[in-house]
Amino acid sequence: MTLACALFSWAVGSLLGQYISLFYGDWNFPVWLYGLLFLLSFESVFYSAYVLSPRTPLTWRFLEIGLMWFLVTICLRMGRSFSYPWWAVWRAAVDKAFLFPFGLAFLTWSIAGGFGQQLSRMKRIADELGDQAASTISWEFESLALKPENSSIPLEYFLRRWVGFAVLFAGLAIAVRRSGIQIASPFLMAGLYTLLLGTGLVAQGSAYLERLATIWEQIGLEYPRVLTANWIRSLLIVSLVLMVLINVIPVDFSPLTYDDLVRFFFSLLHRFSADSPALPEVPEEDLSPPGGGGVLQLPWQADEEEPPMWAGIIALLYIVVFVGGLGMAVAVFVGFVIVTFAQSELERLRGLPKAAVQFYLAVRTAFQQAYSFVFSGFRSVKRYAATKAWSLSRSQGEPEGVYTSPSRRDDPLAQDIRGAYRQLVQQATSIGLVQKSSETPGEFGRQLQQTVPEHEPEIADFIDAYHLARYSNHALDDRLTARALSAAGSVLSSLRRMVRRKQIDRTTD
Amino acid sequence: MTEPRIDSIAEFGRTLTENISRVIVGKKTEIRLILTALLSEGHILLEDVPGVGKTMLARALAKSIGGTFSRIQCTPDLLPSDITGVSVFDQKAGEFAFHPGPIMAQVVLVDEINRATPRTQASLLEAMGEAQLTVDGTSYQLGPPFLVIATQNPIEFEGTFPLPEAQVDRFFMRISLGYPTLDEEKEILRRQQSEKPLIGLESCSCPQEVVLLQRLVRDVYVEESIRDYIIRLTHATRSHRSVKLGASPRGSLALLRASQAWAALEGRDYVIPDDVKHTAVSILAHRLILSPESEMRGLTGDAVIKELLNQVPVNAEP
Repeated sequence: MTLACALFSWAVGSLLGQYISLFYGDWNFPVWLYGLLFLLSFESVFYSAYVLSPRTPLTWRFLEIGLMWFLVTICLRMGRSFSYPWWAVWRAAVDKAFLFPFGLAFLTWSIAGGFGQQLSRMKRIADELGDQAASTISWEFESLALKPENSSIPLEYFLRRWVGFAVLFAGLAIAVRRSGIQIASPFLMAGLYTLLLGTGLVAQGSAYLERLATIWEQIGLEYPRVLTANWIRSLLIVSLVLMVLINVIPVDFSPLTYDDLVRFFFSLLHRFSADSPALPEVPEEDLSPPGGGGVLQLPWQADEEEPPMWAGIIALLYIVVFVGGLGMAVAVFVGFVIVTFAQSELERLRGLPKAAVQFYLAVRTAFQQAYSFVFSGFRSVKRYAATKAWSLSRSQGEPEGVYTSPSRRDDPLAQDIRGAYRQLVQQATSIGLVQKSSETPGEFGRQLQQTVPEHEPEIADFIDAYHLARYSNHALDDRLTARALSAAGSVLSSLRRMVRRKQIDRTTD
Repeated sequence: MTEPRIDSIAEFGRTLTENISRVIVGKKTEIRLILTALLSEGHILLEDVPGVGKTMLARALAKSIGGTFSRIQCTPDLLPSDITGVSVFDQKAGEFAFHPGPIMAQVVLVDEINRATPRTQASLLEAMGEAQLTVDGTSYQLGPPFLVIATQNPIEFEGTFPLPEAQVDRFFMRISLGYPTLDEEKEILRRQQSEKPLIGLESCSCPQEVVLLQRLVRDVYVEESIRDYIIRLTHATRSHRSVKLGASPRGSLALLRASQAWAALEGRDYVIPDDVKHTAVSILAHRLILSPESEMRGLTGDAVIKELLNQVPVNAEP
């Protein structure tokens, strides 16, 4: 869903840019702007979905906008130069060469950010429903799940954005066709349209499916996986039909007239230009495609040709790696210093120090996740080898059920279960259930059952499997391990919810 | 008889518990501990006030496993030969004929053992330690199975002889039955109003089966960390501030065996730390000799072991 939302935002920004350059011949959509919009949409949607919280200081958002401003300026400058110095920001504010890219970047960033916030909200709702499902009887849960604030808003939000932008661009397409403006790259436009509709459909449908899956999970029904396949199939069919309709259907029935649209856009766009022609009497040739005689040229365009696309992409990557990397390194270092030396005072941090700490923690978590991902890949290979060795030894007549590998520590399935146990202990500690060194796993399990009574059978199953993995000489089979790990997973997610709720309570207090 | 599997031990435990429960109301844990001792080839010291069912429990167990049963009522004038048996000259045959004593049974109830003199108590040492008896230079094999259930009243001191340390150490476990609860006592009155339940009790096993299961219990898997935990526990008893003399290596061994048997009765063929914890108090507490000042404070071996169980790390996950 995050990917679909990011691509949707990027398609919106790019299409809008294309139409601006069509209606306003003085400005060409630069190639590097595709990359920049792409980068910003991804950054914004992922940041809003996974990092941003109500307690994130506003300063951090301003910094993002500042970075955006900086990137646009750098890109323009690397393309060629502005005629004014760096510090003359007020001159850039009225320069269309800067204003259009920055406006599009800001718009894309905002749309993507909105999507990201809704995704994060959907996750919160899922958690709340999960909590409620565990503590209320079924009809109460049903009523809670169907409450507007828990169900419709993210779905409606997605629908509104999707339909709204589709209508806007349909109107623009009609206007372009009726005005007779030649589109320089029709395939690009068609692609962007398809992407816009396709990703919109995917985001909307996935939101609906996710909500359905959430409700089903909470009321204990197994989610039929075939539904997802059916959904994707239907989605492809609908997307194809829409694409055909957009490219084939006549647009002359539109209530919008050519004059209305052109007047509106000219009045809007030429407002920023010093040498704007008179509004109603726009000469016909001014509407010619980019590159025509009436097109205004940027200062650097007068001397040399526009740099090729790859130069823009490389420049952008260079800037991102250098500036972004430097900024990130500084933020991570500051965050590390604060976390290391301020520890118990973290709750009191505000503003930029707090943002640095959040950034440091996010980077640390990302590294941990990457490490565990790599490690799990390594373990999978190891497990495969161990399973092969085990099946080989069994085929050679080893007694059934008795462990034959040189050591229990080599059994990857046992290691998985033991790893899950360690995670449970760790997570339980964060809600105040600390396992004493003299406590047996069985005693810990019983305490855990008292803490999360709704998971009593899962905990019992998991502890039995853990005993088998830790203290027996039996070979574990995949099914038992999978069942144990799934049980541990559900308990872990409950514990995580409790931790989050505790954090929220602490904040509210 | 076919070779039993580990599951059959759990089944044996359930059947025997059910059978004994026809006579003894409640006391499931104590019955489970007695079965643990039986499967571990250990002897039991039942220590409690009179009238709580010690003798009846021992007799119910003997009847349930279908073995030979004898009872020795200890008094200060009881002689060792009254227990072991005596060789009497047979004038017709012209030789000494051995008349076995009550110790020559598969389940022996030694009632109020602390009323016998130390000399008589010592006559039980070889029997309990080696499961054999030597009389007039001839050794006699006892059992199998051979189970001594001794009872003693911890309250009375007059006319009693406290068991020597060597004797106490030979008891695999010490169990206190304790008074029944209100409901349990009501049930006892109801059951015994018209008849003695012990009379109708029938055996549900046989000594051969017990011997096979005892052998099977030794195969229960014990992971390295469990052995370490047992050793840490017994070592901790030796360095405890209130203990003058801690548990011996025999104590460690007994705890290991008891954990194996407890696991088997739970239907597992491997030991977990909970098995050790369930049996530790009964196995180790009577082996401790507390310092005089601790005894004066009213501290007991049970309390020391419970304290250690809450201190010694299990080391489940490093």
